[in-house]
Amino acid sequence: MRALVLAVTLLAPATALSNPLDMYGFGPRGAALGGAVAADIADPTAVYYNPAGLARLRGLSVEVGYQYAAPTLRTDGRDNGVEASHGVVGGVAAPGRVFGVPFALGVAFHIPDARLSQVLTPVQTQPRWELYGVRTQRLFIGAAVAITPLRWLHLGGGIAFMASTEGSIEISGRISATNPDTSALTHTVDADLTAVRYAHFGAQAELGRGVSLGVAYRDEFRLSLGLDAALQGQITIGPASNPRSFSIPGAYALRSQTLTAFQPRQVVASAAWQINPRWRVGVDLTWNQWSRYEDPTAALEVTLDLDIPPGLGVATPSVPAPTARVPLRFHDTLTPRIGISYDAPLGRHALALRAGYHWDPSPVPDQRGVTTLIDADRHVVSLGLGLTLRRLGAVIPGSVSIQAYASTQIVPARSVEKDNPTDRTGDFVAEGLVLSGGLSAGVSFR
Amino acid sequence: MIRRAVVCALVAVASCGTLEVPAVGDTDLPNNRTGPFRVLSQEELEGRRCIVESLESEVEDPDIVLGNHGEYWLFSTRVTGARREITRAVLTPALVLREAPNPVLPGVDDARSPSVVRDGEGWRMLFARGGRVEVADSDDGARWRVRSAPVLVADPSAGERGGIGGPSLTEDPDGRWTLAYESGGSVWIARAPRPDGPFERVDVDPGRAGRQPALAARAESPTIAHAHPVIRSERLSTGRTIWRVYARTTAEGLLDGGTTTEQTLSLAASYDGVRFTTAASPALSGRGETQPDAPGVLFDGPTRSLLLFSGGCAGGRRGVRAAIYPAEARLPLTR
Repeated sequence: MRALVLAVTLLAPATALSNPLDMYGFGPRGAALGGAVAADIADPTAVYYNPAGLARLRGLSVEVGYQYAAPTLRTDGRDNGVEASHGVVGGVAAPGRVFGVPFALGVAFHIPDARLSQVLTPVQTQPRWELYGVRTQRLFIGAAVAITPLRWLHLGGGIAFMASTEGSIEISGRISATNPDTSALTHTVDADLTAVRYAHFGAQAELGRGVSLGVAYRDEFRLSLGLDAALQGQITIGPASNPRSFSIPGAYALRSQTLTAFQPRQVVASAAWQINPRWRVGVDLTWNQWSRYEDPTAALEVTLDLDIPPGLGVATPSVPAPTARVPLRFHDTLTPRIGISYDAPLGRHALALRAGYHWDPSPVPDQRGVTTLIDADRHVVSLGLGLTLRRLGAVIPGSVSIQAYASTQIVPARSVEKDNPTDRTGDFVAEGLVLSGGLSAGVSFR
Repeated sequence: MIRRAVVCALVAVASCGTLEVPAVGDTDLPNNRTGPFRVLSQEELEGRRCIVESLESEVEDPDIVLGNHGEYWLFSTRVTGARREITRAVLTPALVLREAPNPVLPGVDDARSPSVVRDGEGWRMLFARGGRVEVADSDDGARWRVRSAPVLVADPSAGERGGIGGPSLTEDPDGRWTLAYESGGSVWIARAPRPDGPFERVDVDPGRAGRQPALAARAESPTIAHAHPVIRSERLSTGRTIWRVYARTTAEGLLDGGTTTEQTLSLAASYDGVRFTTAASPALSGRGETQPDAPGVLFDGPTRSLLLFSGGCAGGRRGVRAAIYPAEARLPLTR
């Protein structure tokens, strides 16, 4: 059993999971504009927002930064201690030409700095903030390519990489019930990390007069953690050397299957208008297919086979029944976003002031039954600025940019009333606030 | 060149991450005081197994309330031979005895099952005597005056057979008072505008013939009987009121040709104080304590609950034991 616990402990954190970018945005510019950038994003974060935007870059662009989100999520006024999400973000994008067609390649990443990933598999009735905590502490690495087949049209697509874990532990040998020190067990642990990929692609169209349209698609992905444990051997009652001792051959098998991450399929429709050289406004609408969300509770199957000699007076212990799970019935959501920016010239340099808002309705239905997945709508207000320093000299012929943002995610109160007055969680009111911010520095060679 | 630099940067950044053991998850989450309660260990009670016990007597029927000065008053029944008297002990928030149990109704024999509530500036105690529910008044919780007339007597036409006992009173958020009591192995509900009555009997299912109890006894095997209820009402954060009844439940049935008896502390709850739903699993099972009996309960803040009950002390004598929920909660009490 100790070995089994050890194996679970070792395997669980090794899983590389999905991304926190849906929740807190990616990069200071996109986050400051409420994520309403899919129509005209043109920096390395386009790998996430809309890969087509990579094709609008005019030179090699590198960006590295840090993001931090601190949730204060409460039930009945008490802080539930949901963990912060923080990590290094960045990306590289390199434009060029292939057969005369503008072409770009980009890589982007979000790497949590506390742990590479985290897995929790509570029982289904355990109350929890379903879309926070673990879900926002994920590793994301995406790569994309983009082309400009027509002067006004940009197309891009790519793959995000994740990993899935399958593992097994086998224990065989002899257990002495009367003298445990003489037990002899052999352990074998086998773990496989398997890459999981999901596709994302998009298009941007420059319609003239500063108007751009965009569409982006991010495919669904799900990560599972599988664990097999098998114990096979003999339980000996009495000295092993005594031929009159009882030996009970037995086998114990445990199969655990857990969904550790899920990203809904997303379709983004976006429009942006560069009203004049200083003012820009963008709007996005994202469809999230949460209805395909699966219960992340571990499904356990346990079998125990003991060949107990008749007349010993020992009954075979009962084993837990296979886990029964209640369907969660999440629903699809539409997330509207808006972002406004103002570019103020500072000589040959420029200062951009940004503001954004988006409303992210909760996909979690009323929790009147045995499950208590805590969640509520999110209103996210964000502010940011970007300083672009141009023509700094021969070393950097392009520009250096410093971007920053801060946002407040307001989780308004949501009452949960249980049908059963003896429900273990009972009624409560959930609410909260998430403060987040980020800083990045980038270099653009052009 | 650039690709190499990027790969090196990614590796360097990734190496800052650690394979950390996952945290236990969200904390201080809501709970519905359902249990299972965890019996406090001797280590948590400064080496004692029971909060209150006696070498000469059995101590049972605990009822705990917050006193006038932040201390806790533990009322209970002391059984010495055939004599039963109600006593009050004073406890610290760590459940350490500050004042030993003293009789509070001198000259009153056969009094049992105290239920004490604050009523304005004073205190009211309902208790059982002679198959009836009587009331006493106090200004300080130490000296009590028993009224001459009972507040409730058994009414066979209302389903009450063999007398009534085990009263437990709670003040509802609307200012009314709800009484739970036992009779004939069932737990019944009555309601009154004041703690001393007059009490109006509640029928939890008017659609059925005869008055129905909140927790019904069962005559067929396995037979089930409920006794010693304790009721508490609470306004929830959503605005609803919930009534919870904890009671001793005894189930007796035939197994492998013999009779098996299981005694637990069970829970039933209601959103209207009329229709009660029994919890699927006990608040305190027989595995947590052998033959747990006569619960008393204290809600310590919004998520912690203390359950006192009659249980076995050192030497096999019965005294007052304590259990807490959620299981990870620790003493002292927070108020």
